[in-house]
Amino acid sequence: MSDPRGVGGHFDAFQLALITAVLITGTASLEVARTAASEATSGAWLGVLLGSAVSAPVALGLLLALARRYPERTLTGAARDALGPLLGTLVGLALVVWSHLYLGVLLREFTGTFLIPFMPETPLSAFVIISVLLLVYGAYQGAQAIARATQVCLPLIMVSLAIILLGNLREFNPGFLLPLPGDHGWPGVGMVAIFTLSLFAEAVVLTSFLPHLRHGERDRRGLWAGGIASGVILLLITMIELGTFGAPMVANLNFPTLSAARLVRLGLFFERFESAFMVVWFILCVLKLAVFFIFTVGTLAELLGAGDYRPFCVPAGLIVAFTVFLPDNFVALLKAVSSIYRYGFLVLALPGLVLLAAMVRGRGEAAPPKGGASR
Amino acid sequence: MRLRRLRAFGSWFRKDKEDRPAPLQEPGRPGGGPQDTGTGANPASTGINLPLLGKVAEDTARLKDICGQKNADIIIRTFSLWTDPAVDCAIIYVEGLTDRTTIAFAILQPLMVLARLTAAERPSTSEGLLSLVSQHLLLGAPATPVKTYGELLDHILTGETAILVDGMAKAVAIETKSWEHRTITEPATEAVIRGPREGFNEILRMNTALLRRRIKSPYLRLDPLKIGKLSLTDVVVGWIEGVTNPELVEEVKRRLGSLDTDWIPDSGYLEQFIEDFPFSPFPQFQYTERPDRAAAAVLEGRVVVMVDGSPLALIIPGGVASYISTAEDYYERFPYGSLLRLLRLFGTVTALTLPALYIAITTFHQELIPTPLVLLFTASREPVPFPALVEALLMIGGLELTREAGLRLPAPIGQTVGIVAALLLGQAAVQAGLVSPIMVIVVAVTGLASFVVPHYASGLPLRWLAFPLMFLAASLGLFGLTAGLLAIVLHLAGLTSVGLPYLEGITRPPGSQHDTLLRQPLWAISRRPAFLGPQDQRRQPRTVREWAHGEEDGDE
Repeated sequence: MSDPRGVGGHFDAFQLALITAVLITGTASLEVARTAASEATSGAWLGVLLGSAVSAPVALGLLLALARRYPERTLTGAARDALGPLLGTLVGLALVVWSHLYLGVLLREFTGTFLIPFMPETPLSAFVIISVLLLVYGAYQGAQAIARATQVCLPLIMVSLAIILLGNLREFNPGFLLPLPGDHGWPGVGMVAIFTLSLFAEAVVLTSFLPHLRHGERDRRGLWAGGIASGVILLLITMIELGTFGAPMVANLNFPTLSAARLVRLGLFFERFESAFMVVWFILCVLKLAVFFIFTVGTLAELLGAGDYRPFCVPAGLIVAFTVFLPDNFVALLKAVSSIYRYGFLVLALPGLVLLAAMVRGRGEAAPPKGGASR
Repeated sequence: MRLRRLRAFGSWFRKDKEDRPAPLQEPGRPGGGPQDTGTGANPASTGINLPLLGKVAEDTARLKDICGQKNADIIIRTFSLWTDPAVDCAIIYVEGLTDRTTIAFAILQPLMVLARLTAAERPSTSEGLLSLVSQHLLLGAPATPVKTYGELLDHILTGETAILVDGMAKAVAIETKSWEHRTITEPATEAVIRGPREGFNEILRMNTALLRRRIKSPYLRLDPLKIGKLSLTDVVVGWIEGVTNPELVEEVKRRLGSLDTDWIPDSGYLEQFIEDFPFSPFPQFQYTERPDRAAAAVLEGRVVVMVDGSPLALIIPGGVASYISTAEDYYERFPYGSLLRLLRLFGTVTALTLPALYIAITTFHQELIPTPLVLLFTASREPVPFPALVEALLMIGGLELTREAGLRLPAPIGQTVGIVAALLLGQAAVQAGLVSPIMVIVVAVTGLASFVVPHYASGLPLRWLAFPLMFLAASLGLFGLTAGLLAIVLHLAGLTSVGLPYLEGITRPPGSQHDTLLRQPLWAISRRPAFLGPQDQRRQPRTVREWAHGEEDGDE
């Protein structure tokens, strides 16, 4: 039957907020502190704070402006309209390549994270195959299903986050958060802000779901709520880890959040929670990467003029599985991740270019919003 | 690709159907005969839609042709109407579906003894005869005029008695239904401590009455359908005009109406025919044998489907709430209703994951276990020659065998089997060193947890999905277990019941969940679930406890 409330076909604002938060913090939550601390030492948290404060309006504002102008089109569709078929297709191709590489690197990072500390004897390929199968299955089920699955897993995610944050308060030393702006001064803080912008730039993926948004003002609030929540989560994680370990140690830990989870104890009985925490982080990563994967196959399908992206899931999943093995070793992987943080924000140039072209050429004027004051 | 293959299969199937030889027709039989299934619901419909002739001898002969000359339970009794001159009559009924006393005193006695009409009084036209028989002579239930053989058979096959009178072009059908049946008993699978003890039984009319007794509104619709070409099973679709989403009702009726099958013995058949995802392990509709639960579902804006011969009514759409909610949640005060739901949720998760979790932790993640406990585990597993997976498979396999054996045996023997098996599987297996005592505890808790799930059909996927999770946990530890669970969650998240999201009950935004994981006080549940799209969202004003609010406005 047709869905009376539109839940089956459209995101509601709460789902949009969750998807946004999962997208921005999903993979970053494990290591944002390390990357930030290595650039800005004790000023890392300030960088994340400033970065979030600037990035959220820049990245999400850009998406909202694009959504207002092209409420029923994806980024590729908007690019084709604003830049013409050729340039628009090139933008779409760039997005596909970007998201594929991103997927491959992030997937390798998170499977490696599981593998190295917990199951070193298990082959990487086993993790990769299972993860890719989950991504493909998630994409088959659709963005709505991923949003609902995120809602189901939300209590687990929240509890896990709370345990890590509260469980480390005992070791927390506010002195580690000073001096400001840190040993590398404001340039270091600025670099961290750019890293943070790169994380928020991943929200470009949400342009894939523009046709699934419809509540106008509510969607706008959902997106902002997701952005703000992401900023707060990243900031809290960075502060707790800096305050617990101190900047020099955080910068040298591969996965500082994992180390923070290791310190959590309940009474004198339950300890070594890191495996349980990794389970939650795995869920977060799969949900995030599944959204990314839908973006990838959706863009690919749109470029090839296919009505449904599902036939592309298996081939694209295979490509992603092979991309995972591009970094030769863990050091190369960390370099790739670092590059993603350093230059990831550049992807915002694509929706920016499309928006600029649309404004200059007067294309894609905002249609009257449906069911709300504005989109 | 799959679609194309299906289309190709469809065209092959149609071609095959067209190429089949036409059904054999027996000479002298009207239409195609009983084996001609035609396109109608009744297998004999093609040839029996002819009008009655109004001549008892010929009409009864044709009916015998259609039903078979020696049909054991279809009784055709001829007699004469006490008029001057006598008029030939016949009654046709199905032995076992009708009440003989009603036939004798409400039909035969008035026609054979009480009529006493002279030639002048006897009507000469067919309409006059019909009026005389149906409005003056017959006692009891209203008479329905019947024009064709098909209609006549439809009536008598549902327990009515048809009367043929010479010279009357129409037959008359009288309600005489009566058959042996189970009385109303306490629902076996949905027992409650507090609440009504009535359960549905196999008689559709009794079930609709049980529902009607709880909803006396004239807006309760109980739309009748007949499904099954040969079984002609009576099905009723229950909903409330002005409350239930008409699209939902139409969709349910569309699916039911389009079924082309010969037999519907139970609501379980219907469920499998109309569900959205036939290959999903999860039941997409709820069923209940409690009239109060069916009534509550209808009042919530859902549709209830009842099938003649089935004591279980389908509640459409279903959802994940069936894993945790029972009727009793509403009869007890709300804190306990909510706590019990949380307990059932815990039971659901435990039944699904506990063995796999045990395997993953003892095999790969011993660091998660506190040191004193890990020493205990190690000591208890020391004599066991198998890995944890084999241990778990042995024990859970045994548990499933015990459960199945206990279910299929008479109650006293079933209990004995349970006790014997528990002794054997538990104590003896431990003493033999085949399994560890910890594993016995794990399996026992898993078994208990699976019994907490109130809906039997919802418990089945939990029991069986625990096995792949165990294998995943044994191969990849918590990573494998989580991957399996995530796949299940993604599957559930994509699942729909008549197009409505299966998880909608628990994935509504916080603040709009009045009756899902936790049950709010009854007076606070002021709205029907929005995802059902009810026409009237409001059940009651928030100030339903008006006495507590004095002169306050009763509106929200």
